[in-house]
Amino acid sequence: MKKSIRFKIVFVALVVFLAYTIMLNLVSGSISLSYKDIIDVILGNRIFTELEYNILFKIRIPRIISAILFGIALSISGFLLQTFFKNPIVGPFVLGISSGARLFVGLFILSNISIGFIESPLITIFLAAAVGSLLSMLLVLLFARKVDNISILVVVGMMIGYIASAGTDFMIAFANEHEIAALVSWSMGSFSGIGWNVLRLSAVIIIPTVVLVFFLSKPLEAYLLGENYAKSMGIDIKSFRLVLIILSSILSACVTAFAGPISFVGIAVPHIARLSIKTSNPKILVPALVLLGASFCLLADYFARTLFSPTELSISTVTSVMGAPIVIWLMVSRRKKV
Amino acid sequence: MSFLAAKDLQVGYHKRIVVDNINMDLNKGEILCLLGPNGCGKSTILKTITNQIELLNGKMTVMDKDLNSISNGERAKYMSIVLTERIDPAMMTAGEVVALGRYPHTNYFGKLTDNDLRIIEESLICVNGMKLKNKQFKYLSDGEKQRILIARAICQESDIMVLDEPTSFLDIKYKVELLNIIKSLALKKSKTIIMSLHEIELASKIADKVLLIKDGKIYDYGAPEDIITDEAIREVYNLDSGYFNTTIGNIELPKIEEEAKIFVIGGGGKASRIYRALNRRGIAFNSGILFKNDMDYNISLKLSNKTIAEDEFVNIREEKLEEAKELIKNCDLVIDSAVSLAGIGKGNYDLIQFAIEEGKRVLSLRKEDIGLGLINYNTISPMIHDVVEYLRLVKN
Repeated sequence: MKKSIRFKIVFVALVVFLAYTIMLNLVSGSISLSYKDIIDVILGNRIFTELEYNILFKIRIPRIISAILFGIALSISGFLLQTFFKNPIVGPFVLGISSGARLFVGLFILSNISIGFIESPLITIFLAAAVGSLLSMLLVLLFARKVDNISILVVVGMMIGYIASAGTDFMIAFANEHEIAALVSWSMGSFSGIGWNVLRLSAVIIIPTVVLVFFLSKPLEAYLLGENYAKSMGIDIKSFRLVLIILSSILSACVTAFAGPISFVGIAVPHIARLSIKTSNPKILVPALVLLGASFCLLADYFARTLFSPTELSISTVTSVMGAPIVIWLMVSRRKKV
Repeated sequence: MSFLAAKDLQVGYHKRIVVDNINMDLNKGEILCLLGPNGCGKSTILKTITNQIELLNGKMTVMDKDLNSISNGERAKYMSIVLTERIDPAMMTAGEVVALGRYPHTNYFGKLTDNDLRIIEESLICVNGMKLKNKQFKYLSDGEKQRILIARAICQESDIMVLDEPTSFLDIKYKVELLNIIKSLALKKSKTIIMSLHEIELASKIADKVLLIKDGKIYDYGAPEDIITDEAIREVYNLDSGYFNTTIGNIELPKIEEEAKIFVIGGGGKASRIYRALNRRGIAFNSGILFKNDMDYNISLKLSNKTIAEDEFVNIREEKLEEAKELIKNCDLVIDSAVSLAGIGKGNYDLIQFAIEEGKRVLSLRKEDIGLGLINYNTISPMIHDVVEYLRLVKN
C-alpha cells in the first residue's frame, strides 16, 4: 500500500513539474510575457498583440512541443536500450547510435545539396537517420556478442560514435561554406527553428511508438529476469529483441533527424525516474518517463536559451552538464557492487 | 504411460554432441536427479530440456504431447525453471519477481487477479518467504534469492519443474531447507521435478530416480538405492584418490602410506575424529579392535594402514587379540579413544594393559581413571599436538 501512495505522489509531482516547465518556457525570452498576460487572454480580458501572437505560435509553442516530443523519445529510447542490455549506463548517445544517425543525415544533406535538390523531404531525412542508427546498433550488437564486459561495450560504443563523427567532419571539410553552416548548427542539437510540419511528422512517429512500448509492459517486465527466464515464461525472445532494437532506433533516429544528436537524456531521465519512483515496473515507469523526459528537456532548453542570453547554448551543452555526472556516478557505483 | 518421457535424446551445441542416448520416464510427483562430475554434460541436458538450446535429436513428451512442437507460451504452462545464472532485476521486490511466475496465466497487461494474488502468497509461504515479499530482490542473500526463484517457479503452476543445481552457493541449513521444499512439492503438489545436484549424498535421499552421467555418456539410470554404489561413484567421478562411502554419505582423503608408528584403540564412533586428525597431519597409524558394525570400522578401513576387526556381537577372540598385540609391540604410541571396555569389549581392556606392560605410552581421552597410568586428555587436539611433538623427538 505504501508503494501505491508513493506512485501517486511522484506522479502528481511530475505533472506539476511538467506544467511548470511549460509555463516557464512560455513566458521567458527576449520579449517578456507575464503569466498574467497569458491568463488574461485565456479569460478573454484582452487579446494578443500581433508580435505576442507570432512569438508564441511561431517560436515558443513549437519549441515547447519539440522539447516535449524529443524528450519523451530520447527517454523511452534509452529505457529500451537499458532493458535490452540489462544495464543502466547505456543510451542512444553513449552507444554511438545518435552519431551513426548523424553521419547518415549529414551524408544525405550534403550529397543532396550538391546534386541540386534544395528542399529535402522530411521523411527521407528521417529514413536516413533510421538507417544510420540501425546500422550502428547492429555494429554495437556485433561487439556485444564478443565482449561480456559492459564497460568495454560502452567504450566500443563511444569509438563507433567517434568514427561516425569523423566521417561527418570529413564531409564538412569538403563542403562549401553555406552547407557547413546548416550542418554545423544542426549537428549541435537544438530545438529552435523546428516548424509545425516537422512536429506533425515527429508526433506521428513518436506517439504511436511510445504507446506501443507501453503495450509491451508485460514482456518488458519479464525480460528483467534475463532471457532464459523470459523464454521459459512464454516470450518469443528472438522477435522481442528485434522489436526492442527497432523501436529504440526509430525513436532516437527521429530525434537525431530533426533536432540533431542530444546527449545523455536517454540515460539521465530513466535513472532519475527509477530513483524517484523506486520501481522497475514498465507499466508505471513508462508513463513516468514520458512526463519526466518532457520536463527534463524543457528545463534543459530553458537553460540553453536563458543562461547566457542573448547567446543561446546548444541543448547538448546543457544536457551533458546535467547528464554526464549521473553516468559517471552510475559506473562508479556499479563497479563497487561487483 | 508415464507422465514425462524422453526417448534417445541427443544434446549439445551447434551440432557438437555433448551427451547421447538419454532415456528417461517420470511419473507425476517423481524427482529425477542428474549426477556427475563437472563438465559431464548435466547442464547441457537441462538446458535442452528447458529449451534454452535446441534438441539435436530424439523426442520429449509430456502426456504423449511432443514438447518440441509447441510454442514458448504453451511450454510455459507445462514447465517452470530455476537456473544457476544470477539475475539482476533492477528495483524489483521479491514479491514482484514471484508474481512474474503468473506470466502465462495473466491477461495482456499482466493484471493480477485475486486468484493470482492468492497463488503468489501460497507460493511464498511454501518457501517460507512471506517476510521477504516487500524487500528488494537484489539485497537478499543467496539462499533467500534461491527460495524466491523457486517460489516464482511454483507460482507458474506448471506440472514440471526443472532446477539447475539449486543447492550450490547455499550453506548446510539452507540446503536441507531447500531439499525439504522440493520434496514436499513432489509429494503434496505432485510436481515432477528434474534437477542436477553436486551432492551425491543428498541425491540418494531425495531422488526417486537418478541419471548418472560420465564424460558425455549415460553411465546408469534408475532408483538411487539400486545404482548409487561405492563402485559406481568411484567410476563416475574418477575417484583415484580418496573415497566416498555411499551408505553413510561420507568422504575421506587417501590414507597415509607409511610405516605406522601409532596404534589407535577405537570403537563406538569415538575414534573417527582421531583417525581424521592424524590423517590430516600425515601420520600413519593402525587401529583395532573394531566390531564390523561400528562406524569407526568403516572409516578405519579407509584411513588406517591395518584394521583389526571382529565380527558383530561376539567376544573378541584370542587370535585377533594376538594380532593387535603384535602391532602394538612395534609402535611408538598407543591412543585410547575411550571405547567401552565392558562386555564384549573386554578385549580392548586387555590391549591397554598389554601396552602399559610393554612400556608404551598410552594417550587416553577417558574421563574415568582405570588405574593403569594412562596419560589423560580432555579433548583431541592437545593430544594430537603431543603425538606430533613426540614423533618429532623420536625422529631426531
